Amino acid sequence: MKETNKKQTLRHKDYAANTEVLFALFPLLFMAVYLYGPRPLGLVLAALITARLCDWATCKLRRLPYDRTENSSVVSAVILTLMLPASVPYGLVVFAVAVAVLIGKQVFGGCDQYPFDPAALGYAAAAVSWPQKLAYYPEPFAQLPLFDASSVSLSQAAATAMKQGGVPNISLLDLILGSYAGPMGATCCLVICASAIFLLVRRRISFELPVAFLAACAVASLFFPRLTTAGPLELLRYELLSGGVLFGSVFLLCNPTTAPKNRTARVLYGLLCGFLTMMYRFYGSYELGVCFAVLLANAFSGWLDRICTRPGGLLKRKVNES
Amino acid sequence: MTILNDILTFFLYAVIAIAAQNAVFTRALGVSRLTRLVETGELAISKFTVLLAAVQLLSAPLAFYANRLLDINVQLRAALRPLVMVLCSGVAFFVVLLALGILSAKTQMKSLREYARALPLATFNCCVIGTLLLTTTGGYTLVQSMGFELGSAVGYAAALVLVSEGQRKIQNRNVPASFRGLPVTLVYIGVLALAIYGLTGHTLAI
Amino acid sequence: MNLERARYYQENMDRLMQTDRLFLKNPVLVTGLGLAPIVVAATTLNNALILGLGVALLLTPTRLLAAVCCSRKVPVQLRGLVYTLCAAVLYIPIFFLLYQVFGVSLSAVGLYLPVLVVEPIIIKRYERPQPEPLGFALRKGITTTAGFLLALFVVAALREWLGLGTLLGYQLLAQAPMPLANYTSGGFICVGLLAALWRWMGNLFKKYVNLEAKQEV
Repeated sequence: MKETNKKQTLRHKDYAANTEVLFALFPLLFMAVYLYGPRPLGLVLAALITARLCDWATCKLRRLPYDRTENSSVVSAVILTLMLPASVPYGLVVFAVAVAVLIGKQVFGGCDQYPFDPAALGYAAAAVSWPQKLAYYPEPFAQLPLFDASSVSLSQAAATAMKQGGVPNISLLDLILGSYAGPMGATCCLVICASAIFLLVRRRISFELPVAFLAACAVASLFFPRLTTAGPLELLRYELLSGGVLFGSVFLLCNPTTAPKNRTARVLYGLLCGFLTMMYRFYGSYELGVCFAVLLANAFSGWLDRICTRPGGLLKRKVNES
Repeated sequence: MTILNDILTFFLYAVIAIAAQNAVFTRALGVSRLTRLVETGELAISKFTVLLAAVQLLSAPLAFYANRLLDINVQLRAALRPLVMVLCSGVAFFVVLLALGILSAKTQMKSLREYARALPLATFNCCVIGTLLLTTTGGYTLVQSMGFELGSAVGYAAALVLVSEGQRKIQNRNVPASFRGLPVTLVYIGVLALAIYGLTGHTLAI
Repeated sequence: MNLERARYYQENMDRLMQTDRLFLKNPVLVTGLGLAPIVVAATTLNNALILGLGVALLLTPTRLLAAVCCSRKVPVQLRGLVYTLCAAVLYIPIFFLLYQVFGVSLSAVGLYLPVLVVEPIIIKRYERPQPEPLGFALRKGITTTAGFLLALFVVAALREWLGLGTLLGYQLLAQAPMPLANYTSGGFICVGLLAALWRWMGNLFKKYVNLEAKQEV
């Protein structure tokens, strides 16, 4: 009994929370393997090894003890990999995860210290470096080879069709089950919702963030419709269920380190992020505009916390002590 | 109708200059000054922004008309352009200094001395001359130039606010010793620049 | 390192940290001057040659000319204008010289060549109200130029190799390892990482000097 207690007290304080997020991501990885074969598993393994190596190397350089139970990098690595197409080369995954962990997390001080979501940063860095590799996706059930996927036929993302005002040819069932050409683990909306409910019940995420975010996305889609031939319901379905919006609302926005702590601040942050995401989807050049929007919104989260935790709340101005 | 078009163009170019073509995050104009202001906190952001906006708005029409007068050989124009832009911003500098002097005489406000002290910093920097060069070499109309100049000043202020906010966050954290100060600030600005790049998706003309 | 030299460095370390503009107080990587052209335009060694020659020809003469102009009592408010005008006037012959050397490839650095006239690395001295003696202006101009050129070429070489896989246009790698280095955001991150590495090397040097100085004869 004493030995078990000793083992529990040696674990990092966020170990349990991060492990539960990994549990929530596991079904999405399962769906990725179901849709694309064993390759997503290989990519995630490469990501995990890179994340752990980067953490270990940083601890060695900083002469700090390496804590194996500090697994925030692992969570970021899995989230990042699931947002990529299943056809990306292993080198791209290694680069993206290295940027996420070394620049997104370790440069700013490590666990609990980073201002930007590492997974969003890693994706953004990869998208800017190799835009062609992240703009095309393999068709589901294509059974990609484990190593060299250069000969796999790829399709354009749904976002490209929507940017040109066209309605993507994806049925509602395919959208919900994720069986359309998209990011390997961020398309199956049903599983994402189930993961979100699990994390809500376990109190690892708060409901204000994704609700405010999705509400802002919905309002922006309805007031500024870009699919002229689609009705409001069809419009909402494509805008909210594609482009990693739902995945981003659960796994990027709700990062406890980068999101605001105050409840009102979280609502405002969700609304801001939703508005920015739609701006990036309308005017930006990348499929997962939510990643870039989250990076920009992260810069405001501290300020939102400050103005919402002032004595008197958000609307009361600072009182001069004279 | 023309006036409405002009107003819309003015605001459109201002918004473009604040967001998609932010002087700091897309072209790194004035970033040395920004890192110093953020690190030392020697100047209130609001004071600096007011001065920057005033100088840029005043120098924009001067630069526009002065550029039209430079109807000479291409190389000579390129060689003389910085001098012409500096003279235009110099005129704006004197106008703002005069305005501060008159206000100071009439209102006796002590804070105007701080404005006068900060005026050279707000005039002779890469953001002012850089955007003047952009609008004159890019063939912008007068309305477009003025909108872009105002937007650049506001965008610079937004960058100052964002980076100051970042400094506040970073200062209390366990940043590695080698990264404290300038290095981590540059990485922070780099990440924001990456976020803004996602809006345009292509490198801007320099 | 011999004991005498180590002791000299140890005793003068505080002074060297303020005056050594090549390494310990590099104007770019330690003080943060001259960032705009380096972050945006220094993506290849060819661009670095253009910017480097521009700064080398502009910095010291500007500082000397401005020191002469400001040797008489110039109001503090006008020192910035004097320095900038000196730089802009000297820019005219320098531009023609650069055009003779590089021709139309000057357009590769775009507005970052004319913007040098207001770059803090050229005109920052105006912020100090005391007039600068000519000898100081010459010495500091040369050392600051040397520090800037060192940082410029290191950053440009690194960014060209990472972003394009080439050096001076010669293909060294089949694929660019990090295309992000070509962009402004990559430039900020590269310069930030290099600044951290520079500081770390400086601290290592200080430790080494202290260790060597403690050795008994």
